[in-house]
Parts: sequence; structure tokens; C-alpha cells
Amino acid sequence: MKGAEIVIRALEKEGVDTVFGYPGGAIMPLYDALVDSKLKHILVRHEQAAALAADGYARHSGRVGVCFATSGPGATNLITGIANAFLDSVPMVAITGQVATPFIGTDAFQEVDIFGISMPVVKHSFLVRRIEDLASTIHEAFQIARTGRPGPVLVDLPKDIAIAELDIVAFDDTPDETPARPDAHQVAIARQMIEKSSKPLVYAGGGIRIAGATGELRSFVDATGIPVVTTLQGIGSVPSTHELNLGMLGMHGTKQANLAVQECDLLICVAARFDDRVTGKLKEFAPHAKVIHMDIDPAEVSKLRAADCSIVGDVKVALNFLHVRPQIDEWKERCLANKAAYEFDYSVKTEHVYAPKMLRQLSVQAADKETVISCDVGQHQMWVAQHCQFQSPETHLTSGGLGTMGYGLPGAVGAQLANPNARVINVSGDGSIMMNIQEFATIKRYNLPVKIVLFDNQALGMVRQWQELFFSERYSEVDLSDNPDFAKVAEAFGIPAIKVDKPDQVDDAIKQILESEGPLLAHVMIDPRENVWPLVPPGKSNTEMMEAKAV
Amino acid sequence: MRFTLEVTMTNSEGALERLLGRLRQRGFGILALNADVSGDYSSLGARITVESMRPVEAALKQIAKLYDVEQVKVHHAEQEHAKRQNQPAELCLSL
Repeated sequence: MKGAEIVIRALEKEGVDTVFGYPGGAIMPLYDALVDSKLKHILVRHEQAAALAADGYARHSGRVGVCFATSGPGATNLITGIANAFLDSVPMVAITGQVATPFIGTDAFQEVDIFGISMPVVKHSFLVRRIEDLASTIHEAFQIARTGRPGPVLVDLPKDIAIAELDIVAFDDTPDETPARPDAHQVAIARQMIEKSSKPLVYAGGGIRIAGATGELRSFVDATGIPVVTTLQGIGSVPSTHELNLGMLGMHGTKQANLAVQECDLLICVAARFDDRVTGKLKEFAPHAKVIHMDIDPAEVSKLRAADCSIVGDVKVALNFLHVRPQIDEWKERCLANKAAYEFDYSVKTEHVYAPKMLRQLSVQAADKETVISCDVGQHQMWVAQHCQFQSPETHLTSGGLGTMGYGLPGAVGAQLANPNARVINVSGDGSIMMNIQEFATIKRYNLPVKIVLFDNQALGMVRQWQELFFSERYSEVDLSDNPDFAKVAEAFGIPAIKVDKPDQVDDAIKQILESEGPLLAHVMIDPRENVWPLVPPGKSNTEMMEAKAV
Repeated sequence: MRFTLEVTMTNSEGALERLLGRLRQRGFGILALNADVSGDYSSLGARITVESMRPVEAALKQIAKLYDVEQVKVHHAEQEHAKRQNQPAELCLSL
């Protein structure tokens, strides 16, 4: 069996059904072996999109996303997508072609040291120098990617290894290690802390989705009656409509969430990591609170905020042992009163389409069917986080750690392929869409029914907002008023498009987005002056929230 | 704070590079390094003196996360400082 065939067979044995990639010189043996395989290969139009689509596939399905690229520029183009997966703990295996082993280190054509280049943004990496190691390396790569705190693993495959022959191949099928059980003593301490607290708060992060612990978290919240705030990645871990869900905390969090954090006396951090976009000024974050920190990764516990109780291991197990009922009626009432008082106001009078209102309406009407929203990065990303309703975290795909403009479209492609029956919507902006607009071709090629809601404010909106607020309105390189006609661009790729310029067109547009069969672009013009509110200025405490100004 | 790490790891491709890169990226400046492979080339032992304003536990946990690492020990070069901080003079994490 040839090396390339071993790789394909090993992928099949791992249960892989879909691979995202782009062929080229050094990886041609692998593409040759694909011809005889049942693996579905999705030809993207830029390697970055291969990695980001694999990310979207993995986030939505919980399975390992797989991408291929050739050596040199193919491999370096993957890097942003790999880093995206690394920062958000997404399981991924990236397989890159490499020049033949005798040529490694000679500056051969399309040779780069992708093993070295990728090192800071992978969980682990392999350069396979012996065909005998190939099958076990692929299995090991998958195990590393999906166990513990997940992440991307790179396998660099030299061309001579891919075309070499091996008579007897032993495929590895050792089972994955199960997550470590949390320490019983620490869990007992946590129980006592919760029982004694009078103002406890759950701070839920992206690890809930990764651990498959949404059921355990909801049971814990219902059993204890403790209010919840979520990170960007934690959105949906408790349904947006749940009474005790106060919404997202942090820089663009809800006022009720940030006030609860600042007042609480016990912060129960479940699989989150005290990111700077969450904490604002770290020293003033949750100043009165003791901290229980639960995470699978010991390196996250007490990394930025010292934990009074550390629970390392399977959060599902830990949560199940923490069903106590503290006496917190007064605290709960205050949190709920704040929630009612600071609800978002959608009655804004404007001649323009108001994006927050349109997103709220879209997500409410989309509740009839499983709907995935894959975001890009910028103002629209925060509007989605603030205004869309999510019932589960795997239906909200967003680039949190790396903040990758251009994630949303390939992310949507990945999610749609992982779940063909779902309604998948990419919410994008006129800046982000241009980062991976070539993926319109992928959507058309595979006739994916992805809907693209493109909010166009003819600017790099989030940067413009910061220049307005923090750089004395000195606008620098944020004007995009010379954007192409996005509807015509979509139509050139064979994707139907509608234009939404006025508020009275929104209802019909939403109907078309939700009901049309194939792909669709809704090009929505919005007011360039519209900003994301509330906002905690950088370096400030979460109590110092800037409120909405009338446009 | 200055301290010395003693790391035992599988001698896989890039193992030492990964170790040094992780320390640099996490804010630990490398002052001295001594590394040897075992007689059968299967494992690698490294003794690294580092300096950082960050706590020793951060280095310990970040190194322990590396897939190749089998054991990591920390020796405090500044014993008095360690006592003041109420930390043990030696920490060890076996994987």
C-alpha cells in the first residue's frame, strides 16, 4: 500500500467523511489516492478557507475537522485557519504535502518549514519521515486533536513518503483516554462555597460546548437557581430565552451581566478563561468574588485570576456533583430586575435598516428549524452575539480568540456540510466578506443552501467606531464606500441576491432568507454611523460601560 | 524570578524547539540550557534556567501541556524568595 493510500485509509478509519482542501505539487499523491476513496473532498478556493471550513465543520459537529494543502504557499495559507482553531480549542487535523525528504532544508521549490512555522499555533505536529510510522501518526494526530483540551494538529507529509510502498500496514485503533475525573475534595469545597454564597454567579465559557456539557450545565443552573452570564463562545450553553440567562458579559456584554459580575460574591467559572475581552481591567473584575474555576486544562486555572477552588477535569462530572440550593432569592430578584430594566430597545427611530432589530427578528423567526449562524468579525459579530437567540452553543459559530475576519463564510460552508439539514446563515460585513469572498464559488459548486446576510456600512465599522471614540474621530483607512456591488458579485458566481435598503423591506427579506431553497445573498445597507453598544472602553473596569448614543 | 526547569521528554522531531518556543512565547527568558538525548535516543533531558516576572506555576503548567513532555521539575534558584512566597523549593509534575 502506498503512503498516500495509508493516509486515506487511516482517515476513513477515524470516521472522517468530509475533507476540505486544495491540491498542488507535493500533495498530489494524496489527491491521487482520493480518487479511489469514499471521502468527500470539498474543493475550496483558498487554503485559508479549507482550514476555516474544517473549523466550522468541527465546531458544529463536535467531530475532528480535516483539511489538506500542498507544501509552501498552500501550507502557509492554512496558518490563519489553524491559529483560529488553536485559539478557540477546535479539534482539527491539517495534512500538508511536503517536498521529498532528501530535499527538505535545501530551499526546494515550494518548500517551507511548515512544521516550524506552525509550532506556536498547533497542539502538536508531526513530520513523517518513515512510511512505517504513517498509520499510527494519523491515529495519534486525531487522538491529540480531540482529547483533553482540543486543538489543531499538523501532519507534514513528504512526497517520497506518500509514494513509498509498505506491504503490511498496522492501523492503530487504541481508544481515546477519557477525561480526568475532578478531585472529589475540590468538588466538596465547591459545594460548600456555593451553599454559603449569597450572590453566586455562573460564568460559562466555550468549554461547555466542547465538553458536550450543555445538559449538565442546564441541570446545574436549574437545580441551584444561580444566574448565568456567558462568554462569546459560551452563548447558547444556556438557552438565550432561559430566565436566569443574563446574557454575554465583557466588552460588549449586557449591562445586567456586567453588573452581576461586579456585585457577585462567588464566581463559578465553568470552562472559560478570563479573556481580556471578558474581564476588562483584570484587577477590578468581580472584585468581591471568590472564584471556583472548572476547566479541563490545568494551565488555564489561576492563569489570570487566582482561583479559590480549582476543579480540573471533566466539567460534566463536576457539575453533576454540585446540585445544591443556596438561599439567594434576593440576589436572583435583583439580577432579574436588572435584566428587565436593561433590555435592548429596538424602537430606535431611523430611516435606515437597524441591524440589531433585523437580527433579533431573523433569529426569532428562524426558531422553527435548527439554524446555525456563522459570523465574521466586527460590529455585526457583536450584534449577533447581543441580539440573536441561541438554543445551543454549536449553532453559534464565531471566531473569538483570534478574531478572524473572513471566518464566517467558510465556517458556514463547513457547518452546512456537517449538517446538510440545518439552515445555515453567514452574517457578515462589507469588510469581512472580502476576506474570503472567493468561497462563493464553493457554495455554488456544491449548491450549498447557505444564506449570506451582508450588513454593509461602507466602512470597517468596528475600527471606525474605535477611531470615533478613542482616536478623536481621526478616521484612518476605514472608508469602504467604493465597495463593489455585492449583489452583482454574488450573481456573477451564480448565487441569487436581494438588496435591502429600507426598513420596510426587512420583513420580506427575512422571509426569503428563511424560506428560499438554495443559496442567497441579502445585501443589507445600514447606517455607517451605527455603533455597538454598550461598550466597555479598553483597559477600563466593566462598571464603566459606555451607553448608546442616538445616531 | 529566576528558576531552573528539569524536563524529561520524548525525543521526537522538534521536541526541544517546541519546549524553548513555549517558554519564550509565555514570557520566560532563557538564561542557560543544557540538553542531552538518552543512550537509545528515545528520550531527551533538558535543564533550563529561566527568568520571568510570571509565576513559576505558569511555566510548569505550560511545559506540562506539551505532548512530548513526560516529567517537569522546577528548582528555585532563589531559595529565600521561594520561602517568602511560601512556595516549595521544588515542584514536580509527572505525566
